[in-house]
Amino acid sequence: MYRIEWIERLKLGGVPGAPDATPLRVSPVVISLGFTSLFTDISSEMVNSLLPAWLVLHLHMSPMQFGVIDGLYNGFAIALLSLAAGYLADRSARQKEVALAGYSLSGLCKLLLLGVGATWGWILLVVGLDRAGKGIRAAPRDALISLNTPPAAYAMAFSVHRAMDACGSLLGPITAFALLALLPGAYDAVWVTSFFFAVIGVAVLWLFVPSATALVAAAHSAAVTRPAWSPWKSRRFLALTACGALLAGTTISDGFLYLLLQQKSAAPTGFFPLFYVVTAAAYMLLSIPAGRLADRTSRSRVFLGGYAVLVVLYILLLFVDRVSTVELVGCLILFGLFYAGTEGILMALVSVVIPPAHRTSGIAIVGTAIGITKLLSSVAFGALWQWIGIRGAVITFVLILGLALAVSLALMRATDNDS
Amino acid sequence: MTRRPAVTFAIVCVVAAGGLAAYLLHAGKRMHPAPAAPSPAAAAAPAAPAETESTVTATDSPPAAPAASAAPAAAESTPSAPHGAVAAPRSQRLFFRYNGVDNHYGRVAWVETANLADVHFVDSLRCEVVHVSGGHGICLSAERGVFTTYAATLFDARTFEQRGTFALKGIPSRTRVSADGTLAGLTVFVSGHGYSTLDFSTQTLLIDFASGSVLADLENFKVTHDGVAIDNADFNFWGITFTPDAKNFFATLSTGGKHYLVRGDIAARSAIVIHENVECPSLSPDARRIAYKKRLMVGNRVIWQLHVLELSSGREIALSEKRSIDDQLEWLDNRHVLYSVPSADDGSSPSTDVWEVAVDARSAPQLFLRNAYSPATARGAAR
Repeated sequence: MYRIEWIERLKLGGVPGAPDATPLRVSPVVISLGFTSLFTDISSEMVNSLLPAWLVLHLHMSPMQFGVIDGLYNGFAIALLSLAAGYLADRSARQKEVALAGYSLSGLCKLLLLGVGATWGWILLVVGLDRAGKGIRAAPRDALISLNTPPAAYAMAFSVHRAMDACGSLLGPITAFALLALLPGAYDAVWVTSFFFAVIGVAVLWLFVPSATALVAAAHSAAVTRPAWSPWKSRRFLALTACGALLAGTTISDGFLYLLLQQKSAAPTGFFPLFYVVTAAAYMLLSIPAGRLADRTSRSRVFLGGYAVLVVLYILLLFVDRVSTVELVGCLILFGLFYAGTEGILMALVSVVIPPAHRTSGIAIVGTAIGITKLLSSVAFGALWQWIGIRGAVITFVLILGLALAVSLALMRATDNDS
Repeated sequence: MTRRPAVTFAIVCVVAAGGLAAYLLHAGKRMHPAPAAPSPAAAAAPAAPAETESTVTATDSPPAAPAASAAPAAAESTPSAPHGAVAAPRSQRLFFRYNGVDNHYGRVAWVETANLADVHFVDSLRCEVVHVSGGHGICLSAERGVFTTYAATLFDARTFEQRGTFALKGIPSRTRVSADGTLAGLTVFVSGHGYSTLDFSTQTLLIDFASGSVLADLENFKVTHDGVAIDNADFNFWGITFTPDAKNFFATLSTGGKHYLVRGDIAARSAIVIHENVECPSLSPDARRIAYKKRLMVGNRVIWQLHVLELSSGREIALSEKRSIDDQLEWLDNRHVLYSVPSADDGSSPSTDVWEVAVDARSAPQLFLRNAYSPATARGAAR
C-alpha cells in the first residue's frame, strides 16, 4: 500500500525530492495524525474554554491564591521534557509510542479533573501534567508526519495537519457550550466528554498510524553516503533553528495583539474571545493553500513572508487610531495568515535537513529553542512595557522583529544550498 | 491487514460512546428530577428546593471547627448579647445568590433575618455575585455562550427595576455597594486563553450609580507606601469595601508577592498602604474594624484564616473559624460576619452555604443559611 510504496521508493534510492510532476497527495498516515490532533484539540479546548470560569464560579476559588503562575519555571521544565522525549523516541525509533504516551497522559488529565475538587494543588498538578503531555507528544508527532511524507510534500503535509488541528480547537468550545446548554452546571459531564474525545484521538493514533521503525531503518540503509557517526546538525539546521527562535522571540504574544486590536476597535468587551475564533478559522482555511504554495515555490520565502505579514500588521496597528469592524476582521485574517505561513512551514523546512534517525530530536530542539525564546521575550516585553510604556515596547519589538527578519533572510540565503 | 485496525477502532468507538452516553444520561437524570438527592455529600441541601433551613436544625458541625462540642444551641447566635442596645434584633433584609442545585439555581433571593426560612426569589435576576445596600443593588452575571461573556447590572433594591448594564472584561469575583447606595466596587478575573489558562490578573472598578457607568479603574490610582510612591506593572487590586460616607474605600493590593491593605481616596484617585497580609477587606458598619481573610502557608499550601483588624490600634484578632475561607466577608451587624463555604468539600457540588461567626474569637461558627452565596445585608434599604 501507500507505505510500502514509499518505503520501496526510499530503498530504490529516490530519497529526496519526488519528481515535480507527481501530484502531492497527502499520506493517509498524516490524515490519521490530523484526526488525532483534531480530536485531542476538541478535548483540550473543551476544558480550556471552561476552566477559568469553572474555578471561579463553580468552585468559588480565587485564582490569585498562587499569585502569578511561574510560567518560566514550567516552560523550562516542559522544554527539557520534550527534548528528553525526542531523544528517547529517536534512540529506539519509537516515535509512535512516545507520542501515544504524550496523548494518553493529556487524555487522562481530563478524567483526573473529575476528582480534583476545590484544591489548588491538584488543579495545578493536572494542568501541569496536561502540558507535560503536550510537550512530550509534539516532536514525535511532527517527526511521524515528515517520516510518512516525501520531502517534496512536507509543507503540504504539515499544513493539512495544522488545519485539522485548528479545526479541533474551534469545535472544542462549541461542543462544551452545547453540552452545558443541555446539562446546565454539569461540568463533570464536560470532562467526561472531553475524555471521550481524547480516547478517540489516542485510538486513531494507536490503530491507524504505523510505527516508524521500518521507515527509519529504510532511510538509514538508503542514506549510505553519510557515515553514521558524523554530526547530523548541519549548518542549515542550526541556521533554521536560529531563525525560528529569533523570529518567535521577537514576536509579541497573541494576547497583546488582541488587546491592541480591542483598544482600537469599537467591539464590545465581550467580543474578545471571538478574536481568537476568527484567527483560528483563518488559520484553518489558509493553512493548506500556504503549504501548497510553499512546496511549489519556496518554503523559506513563504515562512519569511508570514513574518512580513505580521510586521505589516503591527505597523498598521501602530499608526491607525481606529479600526472598523471590517478592518478588525481583516486584521484577524492577516494574523491567521501569519500562522498559516509560519508554524507548519518551519517544521517542513527543518524536517528536510534532519536525517530520519534524528528527526524527532531535531524537531524537539527547534521547538524547545522557540519555546524558551518566547518565554524570555514575554518577560522582556513586560519589563519594556513597564519601563517605556506600551507604545514604546511595541515599537521596539517591531523594529527588532524587522531586524530579525533581515538576519533570517541572510541566514537562509547563506545556507540555501547546504542541505 | 487493513481491516483489523478498523474493526478495533469501531469497537473502541462503540465502547467509548456507550460509556459517554451512559454518563451523560446519568448526568441528565441527576439534573432533572429535583427531589432525587444528586450527591451524597449534599444530600440534605437540595432535598427541598425552595425551603431554606435555619441554623438550628443543622446538627452537622464544621469539619475543622475547634469547639465542635459547642453545638448550636439557640437560634440567635450571639452567646450572651453583651450590649445589644444599638443593634437590637431588628429584622434586616438579607440578599444572596440562591445556590441550591435546582430550578432556582443562580437567582437572587432575599430573606428577613427574623425569618430565615421564608426565601423570596427575584425571578428577573440571575447573578454569579450580588450585593445590595442603600436601596441599590449590583448583579454580576455570566452570559453563557460558546464563549461566556460577563456583565454587571445595576438595579433598584425594592422594585428590582434595572438601572443600567455594562460588559465586564472577566469572570466576576467580588462586588460591594456603598452603604448610601451611590457607589459600587467590583473585581473580575481576567484570564488569558489557551495554555496560559491559569494566568490570571484582576481588574477592580468603581461604579457610579447616578450615571450607571464606570467611575474609575483602581489601576490608575496613585499608591504610596510609607510616603513613597509605588508603581509596578504587576498591580492587582481586589475586594473593595466602602466607608459609610462613600468617599473612601479599602481594598487589597497585590504586588511583588505581598498583599497590602490600602485605603483609597476616591476624589483624589489615590491610595495608601495601611497594613499587610489583608485580603478581601470588609469594613464593619460602625467603620471601626475590618474583617478579612489572612493568607497563611501550611506546608506549600495556601490557606486563608478569617481575621478582624481594629483600625484604631492595628490589632489583629483571629476568628474561631478554622477552615480555610475564600470569600469576602459581610457584616451581619457590628459583631457578626457572614461568609460562604462550599457545601461539599470535594467540589462535587456547586452549592454553598452561608456561615456566621462572631468577631469575638470565642464563639464557634454556625451554619446561617443553606444553599446561599454572596450574602448582603441591605443596610439603609428600609428607609
